[in-house]
Amino acid sequence: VDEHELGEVYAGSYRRLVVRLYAVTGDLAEAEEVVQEAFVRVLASPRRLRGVDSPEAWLFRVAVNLTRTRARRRQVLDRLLRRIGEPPVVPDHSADHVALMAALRHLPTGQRYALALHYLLDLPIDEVAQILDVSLGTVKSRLHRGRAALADLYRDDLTRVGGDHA
Amino acid sequence: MRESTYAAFQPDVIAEHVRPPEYAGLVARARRRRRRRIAAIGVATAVAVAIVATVPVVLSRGAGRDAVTDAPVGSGRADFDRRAVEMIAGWTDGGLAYVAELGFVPSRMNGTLTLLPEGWPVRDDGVYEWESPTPSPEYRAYLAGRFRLVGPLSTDRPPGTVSIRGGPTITVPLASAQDTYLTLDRADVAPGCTGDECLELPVTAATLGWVDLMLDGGGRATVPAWLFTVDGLSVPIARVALASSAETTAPLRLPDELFPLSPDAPRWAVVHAVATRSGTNRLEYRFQGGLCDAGRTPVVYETRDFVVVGVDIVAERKACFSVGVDATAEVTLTRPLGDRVVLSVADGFPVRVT
Repeated sequence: VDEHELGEVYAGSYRRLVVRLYAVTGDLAEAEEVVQEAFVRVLASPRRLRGVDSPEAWLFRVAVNLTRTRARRRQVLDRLLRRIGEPPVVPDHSADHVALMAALRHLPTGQRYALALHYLLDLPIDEVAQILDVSLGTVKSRLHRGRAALADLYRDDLTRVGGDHA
Repeated sequence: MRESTYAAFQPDVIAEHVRPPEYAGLVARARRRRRRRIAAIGVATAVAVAIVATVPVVLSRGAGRDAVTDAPVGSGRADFDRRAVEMIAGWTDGGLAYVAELGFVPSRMNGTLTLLPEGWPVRDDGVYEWESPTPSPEYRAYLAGRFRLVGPLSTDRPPGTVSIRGGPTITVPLASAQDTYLTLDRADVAPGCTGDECLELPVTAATLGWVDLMLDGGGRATVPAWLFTVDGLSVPIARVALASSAETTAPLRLPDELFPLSPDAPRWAVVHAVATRSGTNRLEYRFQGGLCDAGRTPVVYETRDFVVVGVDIVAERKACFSVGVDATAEVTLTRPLGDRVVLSVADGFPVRVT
């Protein structure tokens, strides 16, 4: 794979990859950055693509992993230090969309990625497991817990009830 | 959920907002990176040769650091660097990074995730156990972690929620009562030993409750806890029931449990806060020194994601009042702090950046 061939992949896949990454990150600017970074990595060492059937699928996986690393670093920091980050860039301003993305951002990352990949991007569970490098059972339990937590978040929005620990 | 949320996510609408940058720009970035990598390999080889040929002094703050950006940079002090590496591993693997992700780091003021409900530590004479010069054998057993399990505990892992006051309520995975018990039971008693020093507190049951914790950086949170019934005590002993990550069953531990300081280790001063001046690599420490410090040397260990800081205190060898004083010191990092997490080597807690 050379620069020229990757250029064709870029022209054909960039937009689609960004949309898919946006489902995972909930922030369009972040999605664009990780997709670009994935391309830069492949361009810097094109050998990585040797023997890869679908460059787009491979780039997607690299970009998801980049998101996880970056998110881990940033979240640890932002929350530790109580820094107020930039608000996420959300392209679709419909109330439902904003509410969905906001709710997703409240979930632990493992659950959020699983929900985004399976429900928003329609990936089958085994592919989600492969991308996140966890077992099928883990994906299922994250989906289950994530759905429950999401339902809770929506409910909390309405009633503002705190946790009952008794 | 699928139908309603899917409708709120429309790929076509989002795609309209995506503007691909020039491909040539990415190619140029990749070329620059390739050149840097070649330079880094060159420098690494040079350093390796230097180490073999001469003394490991080169390792400290040496040549070509700009090129080898992702390699950890040590302080040149083996004891400090070893502890720094442990702390970073504890943060990334031991569950602290995970609770930080949830927006919830217990304060160092809590000291431990094991808590006593009000009641027990007050003695009949109205004195708190921790104030007493002669604490009861039970209290000493508690402090030393001498517990004994009587009867089985549940291995269930029910879901729980953390409520941050004035903040979100987060659903979290819990560690089982059985696994959490193991964090209490930190000491064993020699067989046949009978004195007060060998008393073990018998744990007979556990129920799920909650504790109220101070958080690092202010605020409080209500957190699920296992309440262990101890035979002979009127109140249970509570231990935070959080798991150390969504993936593992291991219970969460605080830095002082993960990284206990051995008594003969150097006394690292706790760094309260660090400050940077934008555009520079300088890092200013604020820490608690002593009135009679003969020397205070700031030390630092850097990786891509973390900066571990400490101050090595050398005390003057004479009688001295133990009075703490606010002190500052400064070090130069190999590159700007950026968004790296700063940890205090003394206790493993995050340090505020001002």
